[in-house]
Amino acid sequence: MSFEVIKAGPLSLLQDRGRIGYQQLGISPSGAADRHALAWACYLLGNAQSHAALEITLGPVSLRAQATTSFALTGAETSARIDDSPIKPWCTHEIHAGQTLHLGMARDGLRTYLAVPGGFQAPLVYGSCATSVREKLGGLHGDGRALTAGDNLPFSARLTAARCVPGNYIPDYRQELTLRLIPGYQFAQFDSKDIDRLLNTVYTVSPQADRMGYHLQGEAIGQRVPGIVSEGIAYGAVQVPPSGQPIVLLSDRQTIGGYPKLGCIAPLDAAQLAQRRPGAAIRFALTSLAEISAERLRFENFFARGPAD
Amino acid sequence: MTTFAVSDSTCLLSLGEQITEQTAEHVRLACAAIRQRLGDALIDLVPSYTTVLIEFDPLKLSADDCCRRLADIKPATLNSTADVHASQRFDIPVYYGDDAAPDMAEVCARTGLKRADVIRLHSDADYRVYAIGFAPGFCFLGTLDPALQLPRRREPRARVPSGSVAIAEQQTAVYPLETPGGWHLIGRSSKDMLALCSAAQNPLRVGDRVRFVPIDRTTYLASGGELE
Repeated sequence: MSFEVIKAGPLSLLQDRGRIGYQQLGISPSGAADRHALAWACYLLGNAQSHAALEITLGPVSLRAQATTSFALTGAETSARIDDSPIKPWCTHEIHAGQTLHLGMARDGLRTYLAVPGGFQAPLVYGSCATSVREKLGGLHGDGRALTAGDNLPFSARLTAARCVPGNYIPDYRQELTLRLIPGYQFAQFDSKDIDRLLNTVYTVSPQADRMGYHLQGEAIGQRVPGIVSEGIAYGAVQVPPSGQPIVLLSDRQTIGGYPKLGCIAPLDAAQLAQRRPGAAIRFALTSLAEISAERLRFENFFARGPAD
Repeated sequence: MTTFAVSDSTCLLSLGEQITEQTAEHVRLACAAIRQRLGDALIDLVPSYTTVLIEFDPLKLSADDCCRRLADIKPATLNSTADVHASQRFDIPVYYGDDAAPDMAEVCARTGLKRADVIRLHSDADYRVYAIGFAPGFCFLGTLDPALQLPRRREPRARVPSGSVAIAEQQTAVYPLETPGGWHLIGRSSKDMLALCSAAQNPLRVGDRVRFVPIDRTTYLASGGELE
């Protein structure tokens, strides 16, 4: 059983939680750009959090079902429909053999997640089927290619319980986003004026924003902070190159780099950032490691448990 | 304390300020010690020139616990660590012929060296793996003979063929896959660097040693080498 790809969209990628344990080989972790939306898509179907889903950037995408199955949609709103019938986002749905699922251009947000029962099946490359286009790893064929028309996405079709994500858990991707920064790395080398500027500037997402990193535009900071000996880059690290314009590093980041860094933003904020488009407004605030650790534990424990019914 | 929390699931161990062979050896020894200390709470390690970024499972360990468990891993204590393997040496065959070395003429012109001297200086040295990154299996090797040291190219190439052997500043490397790149290309190797790094037995790791062995065109092609 599979979905046949009629229209692939500009960047539709199989993604899971990413390659875990291979950064020491220089391999990027990759994985879903928005772990929050992926986690809910897995949850709705009762999937394991490690199962692969389709990450659809911008759309439009059309997929023909070859058997009757449930599926779930989360993330960016795309005016999805089955044949001609509109369907609700952040819910499970049934599609019958021969019907076509159409996703339009994303309206709010940037990335939509399509999950199927048990996840899509693709070869594991370094432990994951996450697609890394730059590294030519993973994806449907194992070679890092994005989806193209004519591809078949295999999985085990079956029907699951109907579920929707409660409205209060659905993020509004149009809102101004505040990135909570845990001071770390070279934070102490930035002077207090730099930090004041960082916290009082409304940055905008630059056109150079992708799965590797989001370049922000606004007040320049830290231009006197020297480069460092290249060191490991954690998810959500905020690096400041000589231009003084911060870059937030995401799933497809390089494993090491030599620009000074302010610390890391909360992982759940990094997931929300990946839903923003060029021009979106971004602020920074300082937070504590304790607050972010507690939030992360609640998130992981909730999704590890899965639905009760 | 040399270990700091970086996020809720990572901390950074620092082993020095300067890039030296001794620090590279400490990074190598520290990786083994970290694996032992954290066991199944360890998710990934990113060793580099003077630091190791440690990613751990936040469901098993807090950042503070992680720092505490690694607190006594310091340059001074690593020298006496007995339970780790010695560093390994890997031989990488290189074809330095003109059809595999688009920047050889320029390197000769800018260093004032003859082609044979460039090859001799590049292949006589014992290099350390200082870091692995930039691309999967891309090993930053040092230290290049001072006579061969040149700044990076002003205009990076949009595509450097996989297997290209390159030099820049104090370092040399083999490009494991086709990527953009700004280093000077002086040869090609058919050795699969990512396969060496990901081998189940005795993988190539930060702190190990590498030597380049000159081979002729026939040997290069017979070993699966490609030329454009």
